[in-house]
Amino acid sequence: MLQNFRLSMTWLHTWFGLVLGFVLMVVFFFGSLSVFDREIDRWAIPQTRFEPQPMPSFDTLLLPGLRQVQPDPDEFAREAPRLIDTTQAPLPARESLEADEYWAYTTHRDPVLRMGVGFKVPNPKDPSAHNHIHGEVTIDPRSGTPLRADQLKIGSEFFYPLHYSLHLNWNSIGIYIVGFAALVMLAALVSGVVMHRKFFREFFTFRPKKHTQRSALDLHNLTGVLALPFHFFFAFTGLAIFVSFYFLPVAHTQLKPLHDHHEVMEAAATGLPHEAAGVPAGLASVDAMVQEAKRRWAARDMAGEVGFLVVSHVGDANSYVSVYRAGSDQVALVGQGVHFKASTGELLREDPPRSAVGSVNEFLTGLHLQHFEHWLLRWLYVLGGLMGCVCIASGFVFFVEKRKKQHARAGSAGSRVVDALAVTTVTGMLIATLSMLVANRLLPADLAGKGDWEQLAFWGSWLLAMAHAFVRSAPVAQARLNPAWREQCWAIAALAVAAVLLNGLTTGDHLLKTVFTETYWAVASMDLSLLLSAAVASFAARRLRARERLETAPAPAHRAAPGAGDAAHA
Amino acid sequence: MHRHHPTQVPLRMAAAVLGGYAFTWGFSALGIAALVALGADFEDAEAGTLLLALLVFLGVFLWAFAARRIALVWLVLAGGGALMTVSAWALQRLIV
Repeated sequence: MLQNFRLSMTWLHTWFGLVLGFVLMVVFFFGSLSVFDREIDRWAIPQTRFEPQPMPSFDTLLLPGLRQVQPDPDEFAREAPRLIDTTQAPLPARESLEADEYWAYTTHRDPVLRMGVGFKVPNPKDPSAHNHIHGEVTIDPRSGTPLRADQLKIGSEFFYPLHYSLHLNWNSIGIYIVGFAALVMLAALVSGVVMHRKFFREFFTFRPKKHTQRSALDLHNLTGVLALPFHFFFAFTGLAIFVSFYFLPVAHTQLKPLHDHHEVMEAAATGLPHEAAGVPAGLASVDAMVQEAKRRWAARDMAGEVGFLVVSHVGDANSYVSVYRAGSDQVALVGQGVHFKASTGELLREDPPRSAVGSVNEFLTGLHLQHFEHWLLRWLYVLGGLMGCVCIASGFVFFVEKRKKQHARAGSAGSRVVDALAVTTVTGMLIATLSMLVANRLLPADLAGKGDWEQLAFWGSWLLAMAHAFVRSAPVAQARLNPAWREQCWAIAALAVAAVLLNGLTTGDHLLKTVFTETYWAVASMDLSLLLSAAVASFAARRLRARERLETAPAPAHRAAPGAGDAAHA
Repeated sequence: MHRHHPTQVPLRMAAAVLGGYAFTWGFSALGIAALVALGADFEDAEAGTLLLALLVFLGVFLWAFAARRIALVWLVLAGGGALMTVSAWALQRLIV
């Protein structure tokens, strides 16, 4: 397209990077937060601040709870007309659907337990499809008491889905946008390496005292190259997680006949019935099956806890129970499945070790999802993700700095708009996140629909931050700094400190208690991270103030930026 | 950056995204069908091929911008994609 390879890669890097950078920023930041989604949940729902629990008794605790679960009203309204053939009979009542599958999942970081039911629909349009409508509940596994459904788990139910779907659920459009952004991320990494002739020299260059354009580029290169394997790996494995269902659903469309052919053969080979028999049957003690599975794991010298438990074809003669070992000590999420006939408890099958290809796939996606126990690696993930954010943010700043003088002369609004969008995506996103946490602590615990109000606080404050960024953007048109950067940094510092204070005031779990007297690291780390964010934000605000003063100073000011290395704020 | 023909950019982008996707789809379908035909387990064939397909997409995406002649890009991506997709279909009919 352009004169040579390097220039075409530069063009690709600049423009795709700019447009998808806004998406990637969200993906990287909320991905970093998702590493500690369970811990953020604990902070947001104080009644769940207790130690992680093993999978409780199925027979006495989980089963009675599962029998209370109803199909989700939203999913029923959306899916029932799509799945059910209403020419045979009218739509059934939501409460009348029968359970076809039970599941329960927990990890070494979960005090509370998520479990759910797949309900089968009558008169399906396509009998071979996966005709399930779901319902789920979170319980306190010590007592079986369900958590209120309108108490939003801010970490695992809001930040985490935001990371991969942007909460744009219409036809899963958000997942496709994030997927395309991940592809562009890979392309930006490759093109970013290609466009630099002096790759290694630039890697070791950082000149923070030079003018903003130069230091922004240095920082962009530094964070991009230093964490290059991390960025590549996460963009790639993120795509790998979704590829077979969303991005390249070859096996579910064009090759569905081949896929189904294989599934039937596999069911025959494993002895696990693919279809229900249509004959009712009871459920033997699942606890006894769990005991047997644990005994078998111990016999293979891999004793462990149950991570995932599924009952398929509930209430049918072909029903079977699958017990999977928790993946605390392995990269795979769960594994070593042991399967039992549900009506008798007779062993049907013990999964053999994975094939080589299956292991590679499981290793790649498992490393991305990281449900295993390794706290140091967990923090390194956060560090890598935040370096990705710095890389993208400094890319925005470089884009603006490189063009704003020229745009100012030409009277173009280009860099002014990009800069305001960058403010929105960088500091505005942090304001939205922190506002949500502050709202979580300010709103009364028993408020109906509390989660909806928290989400309103998130999107509303982000919108306000965007308006502020645009309103204050005029100086960029004169090739100066947008004061919104500095003002929003102060807002971040204030909100972060407020969140910590409010947590202490409303729950009594202040840092002295959570660190020293009754140590509870999930909440303590959240508070400490918030305080660190406040410190970084106020340091940034002071540096930005210094830069603004330099710009508006009448004399040609080439002094060193004051306020550097202010120990009190570092 | 400012001197290329105005239709160049949209054409390149369409080739990279749509052409690249068509090519990757064909690669995936043919790869899975061929591996299964050769005796591989379906899930292994799928997992392995799709991991490779992501890298193929990345490669052709970049190539669509780097190549000198856009016509060649379209020929390889759309033509190759269609050819592989049809071959996968034929192969599937032989197996199932």
